[in-house]
Amino acid sequence: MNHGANRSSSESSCSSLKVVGKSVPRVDALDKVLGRARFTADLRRNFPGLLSIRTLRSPYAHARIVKLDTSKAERLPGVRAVVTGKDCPEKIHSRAPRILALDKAIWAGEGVAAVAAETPEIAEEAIARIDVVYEELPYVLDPEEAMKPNPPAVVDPKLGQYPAGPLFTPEAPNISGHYKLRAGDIAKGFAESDVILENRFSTCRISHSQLEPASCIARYEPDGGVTLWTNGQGVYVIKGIISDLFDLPMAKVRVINPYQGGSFGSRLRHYVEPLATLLALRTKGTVDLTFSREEMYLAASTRLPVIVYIKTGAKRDGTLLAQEMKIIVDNGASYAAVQDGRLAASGAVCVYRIPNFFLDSYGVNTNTPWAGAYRGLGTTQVVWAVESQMDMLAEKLGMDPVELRRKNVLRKGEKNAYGEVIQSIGVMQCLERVAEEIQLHTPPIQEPGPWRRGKGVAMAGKQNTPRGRSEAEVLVHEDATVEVRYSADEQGMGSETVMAQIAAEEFSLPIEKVRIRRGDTERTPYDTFSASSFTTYNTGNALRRACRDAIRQILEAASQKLEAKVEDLRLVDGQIMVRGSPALPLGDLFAPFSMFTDQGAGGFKKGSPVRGHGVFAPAPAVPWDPETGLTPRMWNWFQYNACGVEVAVNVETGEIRILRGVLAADMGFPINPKMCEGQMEGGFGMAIGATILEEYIYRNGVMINRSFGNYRIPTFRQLPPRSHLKTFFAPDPLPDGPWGAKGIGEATMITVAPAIASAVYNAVGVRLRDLPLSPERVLRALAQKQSESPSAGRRATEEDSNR
Amino acid sequence: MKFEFLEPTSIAEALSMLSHYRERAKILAGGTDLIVQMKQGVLKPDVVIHVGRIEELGGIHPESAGGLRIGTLTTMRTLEKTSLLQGPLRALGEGATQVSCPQIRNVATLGGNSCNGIPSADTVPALIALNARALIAGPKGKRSVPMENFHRGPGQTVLETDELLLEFEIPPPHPFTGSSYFKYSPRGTSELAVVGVAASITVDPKDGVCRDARIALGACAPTPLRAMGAETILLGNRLNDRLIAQAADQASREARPNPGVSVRASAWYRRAMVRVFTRHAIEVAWRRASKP
Amino acid sequence: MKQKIQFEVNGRSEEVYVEPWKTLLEVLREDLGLTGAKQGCDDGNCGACTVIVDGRAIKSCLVLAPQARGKKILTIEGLGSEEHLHPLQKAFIDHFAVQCGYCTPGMILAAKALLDENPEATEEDIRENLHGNICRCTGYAKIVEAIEAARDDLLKKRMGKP
Repeated sequence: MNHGANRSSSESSCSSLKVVGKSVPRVDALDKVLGRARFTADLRRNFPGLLSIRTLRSPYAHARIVKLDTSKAERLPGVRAVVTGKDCPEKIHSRAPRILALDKAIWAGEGVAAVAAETPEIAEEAIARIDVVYEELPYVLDPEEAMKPNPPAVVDPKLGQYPAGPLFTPEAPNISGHYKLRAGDIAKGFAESDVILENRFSTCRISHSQLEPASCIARYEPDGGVTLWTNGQGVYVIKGIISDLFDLPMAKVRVINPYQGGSFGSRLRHYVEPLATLLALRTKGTVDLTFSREEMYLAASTRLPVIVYIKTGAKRDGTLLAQEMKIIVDNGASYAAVQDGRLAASGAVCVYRIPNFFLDSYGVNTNTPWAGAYRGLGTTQVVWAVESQMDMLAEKLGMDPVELRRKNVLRKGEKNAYGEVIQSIGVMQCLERVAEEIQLHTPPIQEPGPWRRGKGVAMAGKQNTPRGRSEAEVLVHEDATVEVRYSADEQGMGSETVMAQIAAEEFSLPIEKVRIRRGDTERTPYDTFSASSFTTYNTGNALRRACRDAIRQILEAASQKLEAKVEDLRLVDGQIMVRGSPALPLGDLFAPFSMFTDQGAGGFKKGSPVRGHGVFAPAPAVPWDPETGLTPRMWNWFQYNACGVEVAVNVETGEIRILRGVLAADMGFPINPKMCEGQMEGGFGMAIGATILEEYIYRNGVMINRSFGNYRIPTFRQLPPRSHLKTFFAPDPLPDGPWGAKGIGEATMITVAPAIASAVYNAVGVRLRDLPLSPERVLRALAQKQSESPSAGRRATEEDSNR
Repeated sequence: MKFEFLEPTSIAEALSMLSHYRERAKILAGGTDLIVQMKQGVLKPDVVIHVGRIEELGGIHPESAGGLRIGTLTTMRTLEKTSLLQGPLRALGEGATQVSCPQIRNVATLGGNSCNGIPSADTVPALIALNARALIAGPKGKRSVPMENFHRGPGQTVLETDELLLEFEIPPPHPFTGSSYFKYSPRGTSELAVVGVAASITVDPKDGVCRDARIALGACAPTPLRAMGAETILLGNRLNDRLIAQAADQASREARPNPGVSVRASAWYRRAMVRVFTRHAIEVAWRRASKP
Repeated sequence: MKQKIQFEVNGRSEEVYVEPWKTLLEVLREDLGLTGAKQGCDDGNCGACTVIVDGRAIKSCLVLAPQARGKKILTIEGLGSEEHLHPLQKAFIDHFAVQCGYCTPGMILAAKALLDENPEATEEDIRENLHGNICRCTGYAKIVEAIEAARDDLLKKRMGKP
């Protein structure tokens, strides 16, 4: 893979960097290729007498639990505890569903009872012996139906009552939040427009499908507390939830992360820790709750299905004047964050200059599994609409799609529709790069047979939420090796490697001398979790401060010893340098133990490391006016991305094949270029699944394709050959990011769907507005086009070719 | 899952066990279907009879004039690699090759693919198109069943609970015969077929007339089925694109996909794919028939 | 109910005493402590449980322990060591083919089985033969790159080149 020409400018400003900015091998790769990296379920053998948990789940989307008799299950030999909703704490936490349903199940898959038993087989047998009778109730799966004042079903009557929960609106009982954005004068904007375009777009429910299922081992401790080993995200957040839900003293709750096998946002909700804790407390034992893959589909969170109504007005020359949007976000049976669609809406606001903006976004509950954080969170879905609209607008105006975007893209220093000043926006460079690489303006070469080729591009930005507080600690030993301690996640994106690089750079050490210790509330300092692509930024900044704190202490001690000015001193690979010359090994600052010296006095002592501590929290958002949604700061920074694809569409089957992909990203500064490529390539793969393959299929309110066999995740064969997948960097440094770095995890998700849809239109002349672009949908659209104009069945017209 | 595990070492021993346990037992060959269904709780046998070590159930045995006998334990991998299925019997090799992925093909057996009884089994349309018969042993002796009659419904075959499938017999193909199998699914072989079509075509080289046509469809009806109407359109006529298209149309009418919500595809789409892939299957079989 | 089952794992003779309904995956992980093979799904679709049995890659979640009696099994733990990494392991590190690492052991073994049978496997062969191993993190590009590098490395070694 090669990198764009823009890289040289950031390289030269950072040319003195030794570790940061280099593609250092991942610090965890050795363990992982040897098979010795431990994930949560790999720890089972460490716990003799480990009890297995199984859960009885509602087969109905909405049902009253009329009878629930667990006595036969309790009597089965080997069963140690059976719990139902009555045994669960009444408190609710916004990051965790009700542990078990109480009198009603509100989605198909919600847990109704659970068993802890000596073997998995006994637990399963016990589940089969639970006597449960449901009364089916009407349910609602369609958010547009659910948001009406008199919906077919009220998903959760207590929706307004949860602490720190959703904003109950009187408009309708299933609406959990409503965000408004009002900028300029929308009526005037449309009145002055030469061209107006109106469309409805939608995305469906999909699953993160990370390879490692949710897993938690909970051990009851002799002091009445618990220790959890879990792949859930945010050890401190989990600690807080568990302590709160079960009234356990915080000092008695310890949460540990082994390696986490992917997340993509799934593990930001806590499905396993509360139930595991409940059963650990009940049995006073050690329990293991690991979801099956089926449970991951039924009872873990999903991406938010989003419906977007979008009306855009522009002048003939392409200047955007007005945009009116109604965004409906399906939260599922959820009462937690992201409930008003504001995050999704950000995808419409962060890239283009649109003086007159009228937007309503709604969070709506339906009788489906919780929906929430998923790589690209809501932005992907709204960008699907916005960029598809831009593509159609370009065609309507007879304009080059790149030129249309260039005309309207926000520049640094300008304000977006919220009123935020843009700090860094490398998006146009990204688009220009991909358009050039995919040769957008050269029609693809068509071959005989049923496959028609087409090209398309899209660009977008993903907001970063200014949230969280990250702490980091470094322990600097007398031999100049360093331990880094932090609690953000490592779900595969490489935070451990990035943190090791940062510390190695700050201490001018070879990376082998840096040891990462992560994710244990007993040992590592506070952090929230890894989300919104902010770990490099939040935790990385905290770590730099921790490193500098330690270095400051060391150099102050050295300046006394050497009688030199601190400004003239540097710490380089364990040597104190005075004006560039080595003067003192670090170890000499540490006094050895001597019976004749006061060991309690100040100064460094052998065996006792220097401790540096750092805290970073992004500047807070400024509350927005609830009537206008305007604020000078809602989000922090944005990661930008562009995607260009060449596809082939099979006119007989409707299949879409991705022949070529070109990705460009603005991540501020690539701390580890190869890892950044990996994020882009991985995001591309995931986005292909979300665009053409994946969907939740329901029958009678129940999701039925809950297996990797029929929930269609991309395999090796759905990605183009290596030579046809290129990634480029177009970094625009962020002033307060580490060395200018922003984040990159989500960037590549957000632009792929509209680029593919544009390419499909280019290939076969059909516009699709609903994801996924499944073969059947494409075939139906082709059939409809054929019936509307029989001559249109031939290949792309000249008009299309001239783009 | 929970069961008693028995491992007979001969066919006689296996039959004796089956006679004893009847519907309480399930036969384990490779396991790639049975074990999944036991894990899902769909099948809950008290007894699992593992026949995988009975040598007489393995092997591919060429017969006179190009026919074959294929033991029930023959793995998909063996069928994929053998040169015996590269000529007129190629449809079966292609069927085996398109079962799932290499790890599954290393273990999955031809017998298991039929006995599992799902309509999307990749080797069954080929067996039907090649006029294969299943040789079955039971307490009263052996019987032979044409593959087009082997399946009764989803998950159901003609096998009685005290019977064991021994092998498949494929008769010698006519000269100037070609065959093919097409599996269609949005992710290719990684998942079960949305439709599968096998065709075996015999064409007289002197006049281009189709002397024999057998077309079998998978995954678009409660059982794999022979598209006899489509065959009739071809039989006795000179093949050309228009005729083949008509046969494909007819095949899509003969398909009986489930009209309800399906995890894989709607009935409309399956019929459309039957049309597309019947055409492809006939075209390729015809081309192969012309180049023996 | 429990049966004594003997087989060879990573060159060592092993004997376990387990119920016949335990899968090979469960036996490797829980009875022998070889946790490299992973469970990612319920039904043999993800490939994270891939091990090599008698030279062939198989999905160990779909094999009952008694079926493995008498067989020779290779797991990721037997492939290489920190001092002597197998070229595939080295290539996966060098080419950034590892992200979360959950698919990695199964992926490496599936690749080994392919290269053992087809030492000159092309990118097309790799994609055709490994599609039974799912990765959600990498988009597969660097996994292909790593396997191709390992292929070249192994071919060089075969021809006696350094």
